[in-house]
Amino acid sequence: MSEAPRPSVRPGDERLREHGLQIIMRFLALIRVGRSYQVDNQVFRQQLLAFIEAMRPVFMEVPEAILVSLDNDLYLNGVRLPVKVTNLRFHQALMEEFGRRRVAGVRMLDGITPAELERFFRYFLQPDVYHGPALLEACVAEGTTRILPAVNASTEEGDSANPFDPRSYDSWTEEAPTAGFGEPEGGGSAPADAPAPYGVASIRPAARKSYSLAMLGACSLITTTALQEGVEMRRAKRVVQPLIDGAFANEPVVVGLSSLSHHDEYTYAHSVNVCIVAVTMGHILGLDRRALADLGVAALLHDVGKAAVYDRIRHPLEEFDPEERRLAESHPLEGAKLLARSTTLNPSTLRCMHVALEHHAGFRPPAAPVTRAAGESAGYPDLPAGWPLSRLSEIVAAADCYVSLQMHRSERGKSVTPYQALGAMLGPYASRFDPAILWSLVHSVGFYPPGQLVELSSGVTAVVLAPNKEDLSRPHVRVIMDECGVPFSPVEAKELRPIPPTLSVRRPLEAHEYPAVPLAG
Amino acid sequence: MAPGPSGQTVRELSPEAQAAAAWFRQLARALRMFRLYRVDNPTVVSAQEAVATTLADLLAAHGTLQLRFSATEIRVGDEPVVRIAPRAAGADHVASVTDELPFLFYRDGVRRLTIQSGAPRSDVDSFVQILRSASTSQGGQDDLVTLLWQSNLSSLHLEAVPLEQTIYVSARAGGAAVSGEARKGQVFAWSPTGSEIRADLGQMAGAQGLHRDTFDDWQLPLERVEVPEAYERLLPAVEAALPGFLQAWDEENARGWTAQAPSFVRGLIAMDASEDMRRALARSVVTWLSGALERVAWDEAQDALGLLNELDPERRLCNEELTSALAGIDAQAVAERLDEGDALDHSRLAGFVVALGAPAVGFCVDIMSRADKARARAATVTALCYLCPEQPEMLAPWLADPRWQVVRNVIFVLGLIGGPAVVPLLRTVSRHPEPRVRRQLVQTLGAVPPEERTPLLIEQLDSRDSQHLASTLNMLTRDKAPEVARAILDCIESPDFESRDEASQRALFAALGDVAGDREVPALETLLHKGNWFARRTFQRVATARALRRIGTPSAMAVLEAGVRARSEAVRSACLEALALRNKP
Repeated sequence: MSEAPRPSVRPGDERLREHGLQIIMRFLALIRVGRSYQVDNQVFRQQLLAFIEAMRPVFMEVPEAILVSLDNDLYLNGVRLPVKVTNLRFHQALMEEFGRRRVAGVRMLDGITPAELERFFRYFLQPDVYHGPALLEACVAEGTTRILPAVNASTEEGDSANPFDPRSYDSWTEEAPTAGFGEPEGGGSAPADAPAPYGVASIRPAARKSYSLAMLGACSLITTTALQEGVEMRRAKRVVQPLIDGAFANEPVVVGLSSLSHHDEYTYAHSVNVCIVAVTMGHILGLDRRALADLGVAALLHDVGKAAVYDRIRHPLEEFDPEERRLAESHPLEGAKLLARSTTLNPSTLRCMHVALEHHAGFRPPAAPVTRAAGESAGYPDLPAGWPLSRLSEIVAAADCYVSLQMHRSERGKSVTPYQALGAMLGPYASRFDPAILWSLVHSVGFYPPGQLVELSSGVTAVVLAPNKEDLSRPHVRVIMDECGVPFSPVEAKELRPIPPTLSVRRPLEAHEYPAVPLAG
Repeated sequence: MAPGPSGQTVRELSPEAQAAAAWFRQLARALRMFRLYRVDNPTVVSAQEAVATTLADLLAAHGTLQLRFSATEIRVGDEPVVRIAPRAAGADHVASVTDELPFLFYRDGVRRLTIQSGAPRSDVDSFVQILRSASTSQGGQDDLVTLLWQSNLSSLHLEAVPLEQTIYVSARAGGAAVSGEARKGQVFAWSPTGSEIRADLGQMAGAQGLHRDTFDDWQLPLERVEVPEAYERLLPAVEAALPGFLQAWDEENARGWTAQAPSFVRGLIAMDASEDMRRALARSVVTWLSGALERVAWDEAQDALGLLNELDPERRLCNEELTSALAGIDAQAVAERLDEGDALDHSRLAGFVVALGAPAVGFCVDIMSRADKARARAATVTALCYLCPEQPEMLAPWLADPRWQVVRNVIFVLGLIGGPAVVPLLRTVSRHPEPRVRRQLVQTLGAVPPEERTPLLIEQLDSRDSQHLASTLNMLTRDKAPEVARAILDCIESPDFESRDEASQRALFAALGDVAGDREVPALETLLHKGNWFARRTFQRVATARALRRIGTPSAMAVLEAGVRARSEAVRSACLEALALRNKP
C-alpha cells in the first residue's frame, strides 16, 4: 500500500499546553522589559531571542501559532491553556495586556526574526496610541508578516462558511443536542408527538459546533495516543460527551457517506465512526452515561495497537502472509499494552484496555462456519480459559465490524453499501455476536442505514436520512431523483419524514447504481 | 466584610446574593472537611446533608440560581458572592475559607451554572456530592464537568469551556471574518474543522487517518443478506438475549474494578510475558498505586503493591516511574488526612512506605514535612528509619531543602539511624543558617561515635545562640578530649569573646573547667593575670580562677596559690574566691 502524503499534524496538545505557559511568560517578560528599555536596546533584544526560543518547539510541529484570549481563557492554536493556581496571574496579566490593546491576541508564523519582532513590539508597546485595528494596520504597514495582532477571536465562523464542514451535508439532523445538560434522556427537547423539526433551518449551530468539537478532540486524542505516550482520560471523556449527547438526542448514525460511493470524499476516521455507532448501540441497550462515556472512549481507542504493527504489514487482508497475519492479530494485545503504558489505571482505562484487547475475541462459538481466509482464526488473541469478556468489548466489536465493512480497503469493499454491511452483520457475522447486540445495531441505523440510496415503490430514488424508530422499514428520506433518474435540484428535493404508508422501499440501490456526482441530498 | 467589585459589602448585596454567599461559605467549610475525613465519617455525612439542605432552602426562597465563575470570583447575576481578595505585595495574606471555590469551578472550564428553582432534592444532593468528589482527589478520573454531565441533573444547566475550541480570528473588532483578498495578511484562522478535520482523521492522511490504521481486520463476506428478513430471523433470539445481556452487564458493572484489575493484568502476562509487556503493566500498576495512596485507600494500595511485586519484584522495570509517581502525589492532602487519621492509619502508612522501599523516601519525607500532628510525623520518621538505615545518603537531597523544618526533621531521622555513615550528611548542615536546625544537629550528634562528632561540635562553638552553645558544650564535655579543651580555650582567648552574652561566657568557662588539663593551665594563668596592677575585677578573671579550681591539678592549684600573693587586688580576690570554693565541703 502506498503511503499517502500526510498533512501537517497538529502538535500534541499536551506539548502545546506545556509550551503555552512558557510562551506566556516570555511574552510578558517582553512587555515588562519593553517598559524600561527601547526596543533596540540590548536587554530587550535578549528577551526577543528568548521569546523566539520559547516559540521554537511549537514551530517544529506546526508553522503557525495563534495565541488568543477568548472568554477569560487563553488558547494556543485552539487548545485551552490550563490554569493552575501558580500560573493564574500570568494568564490574567497577558489577557489584561491584550485587553489594553483591544486585540484578542497574536498570530505568529514560523521563521519569525528578531528584527520583525522588534518592529512589532515598537507598536505593541504603545497601547495608548496603537490599539485594535490601528495596531494591526501599523504592523502591516511596517511589513511584519510573521507576527500580527489578531483583533477579534470568536468560536463562530464568519461569512466564509466552510464548504467542507463535516456537518454541512446533514440537513436532516433531528433536534440537535445543546452544549448544556439536562435534556430528558431518550429524546430531544421537542415533544414526542410534535413533527420532527427537519430541514436546514432546524440545524442548531450548537449541534454543528459540538460535532466539530468532538471531531477535533477525537483527532487530538488519537494523535496523542499514537504519537506520544500519555492519554489523559479526563480529556477523552470530554471529547466523547458531544457524541453521546447526539445519541441521546437521537441523532442518526452516519458512517461517513460511503453510500454515495465517494469514500475518499466523505469518510471520517474509522475510530470516530466506531465511537458514534457504539455509543448509539449502548444507549439503545440502556447503558447509563458513565458507561457510555467509557464505551465512547474505549471505542475511540480500540485500534491504537495498530500503531505498533502497521508499518510491517504491506499486503491487503486477503493476501496476508503468515507473519503479517500474526502481526495483524497482535494488534489487540499491542493496544492493551499501549494503553497500559499511556494511561493511569482506573475504572475507565481498565475498560478501555479490555476493549482494545477483546474487540476481535471470539465472543460466541460460531454456529455455522464463517467464511474465512486461510489461517484466519475465529477470534484473537487467544485469551486464557475463563477470561471474563467485557460487554463493552462486544458492542465495540460489532460497531467496528459494521464500520469496517463499509470502509473496506479491498477492491470489493469499494462497492459495499451501508445496507450490505448491515446485511453482513446479520448474516455471515451473526453467529459471532450476541443477538441483543445485533438488535441494538439495527435499531441504531435502521434497516436502511443513513446514507443508503433506496428506490421507493413509486420509482423515485431517495437517500436515507435517519431511521424511523416506529417502523424500521420506513426511514426518513429525501427524494433525490425522479422515476427516470433525473436528479432534483436542492430546492426541488422533497423530504419524506418518514416514508408514508402509501409508499415503501422497493429495494436498496447497489453501489454501481449510485450517481457519479454528489446529489442534492 | 467582603467587599464587592465596586466597594460593595455583603450587606449591600441583594437578599438572594447574601443567601448565596452564606451558602458558599458553608460549602467551603464542608469541602475542607470532606478532604480531611473519610466519606463515611458521620461528620462528613451530616455536613453534606446540611449543605444540600441550605441550597434547597435557598432555591425555595429565591428561585432559580444563576451563577457565573471566573478564576477569582463567583457571581450571582451581577453580584459577586465570592471574591478572592487581591494580595498586597509584601503583606501577609490571610486566606479566606472561600478562596478555593472560584478556582474549583474555573479550572475545569465551568463558566456558568444555573440551578432551577424547584430542583428535586435528589438533584441537589447529587450536586453537592459531585462538588465533594471534584474537590477531593476522590473524583479521580473525572473532572467536574464530566461528573456533572454523567449525572445529567435535569434541573441544572451548565456552560463549560471546551478543552479545545475552533477559534476564528479576524481583523475586525468584534466582527465576522472578511473574505477574499481582504483576508490576505490580516485575517487568519486556526480552524481545523471541515476539510482539515477530515484531512487529519480521514483520507487525506491516507486511508489510515492519524492513528495509523493501515490494514483491514474484518473479512468482507461474499454472502448477500436482505436485512428485513435477517432481522425477522434474529428477533426470537433477541427476546431471550436482551435480558441476558443486561444481566451480564449488571454483573460486570457490579464487580469492582479493583477486583478485576489484578486478574486482567495477570491474564495479559499469561498471553505475553515479554519484558516490554511487564514494563508497560508495571507502569500502569504504579499509577494505580499512587492514586490509591493519594486517596489514602490503604487496602487498594496494598492490592496494587502486591500486583507490582508480582510484576517487578526487584523494581528493575519501574523504579523510575514509581519514584516519579510518588513524587507527584499531593502530599499536602495526604498529610492533612493523616493528621486527622487514627493510629491504624499511621501504622499502615509506615508499614506501606517501608514495603515500597527506596522510591518512597521522598514521599515519606514530604509527608513528614507537611504533617502538623506529631503522631503523624512520628509514623513517617519510623518509616524512614526502616527505609534508610543501610543507605542514609538517600536522605541527602532533603538536607538542602529550603524549608528549615524539613532539614531539621531529616537530621532527626539521621540521629535515629546513627552511626558513622550519617556523619558526612550531618557535616553538610553544620553551618545551616537556622539555629533550630543546628540545635537538632547537636542533639543528633549524640548518636554518632565521639571521634566523628567532636569536629562537628567544635564547629558549633562560634554560635551566638546561648541555648545552642550550651547544648554543644554539654555534648562536647562528655569526652575529655584535648582538642575540645583547646577549642574552648581558643574561643575564650578570641578577641570577640567579650561580645558574647554572659551566659555563653559562663558556659564556655564552665566547660573548659570540665575538660581542661595541665596543658591549658599556662594559658589560663595568662588570662588570670591579664592587665596591670590596677586591673579591675572582671568576670573573665573570676571565671578563669574558678576554671583553674575545677581543673584542680597541682599545677592549677599552684597558679591559684601564687595568685593569692599577686600584687593586683583583682587577681588576689579572684584566686581567694576560687580557693574558698575549693575548701567548701
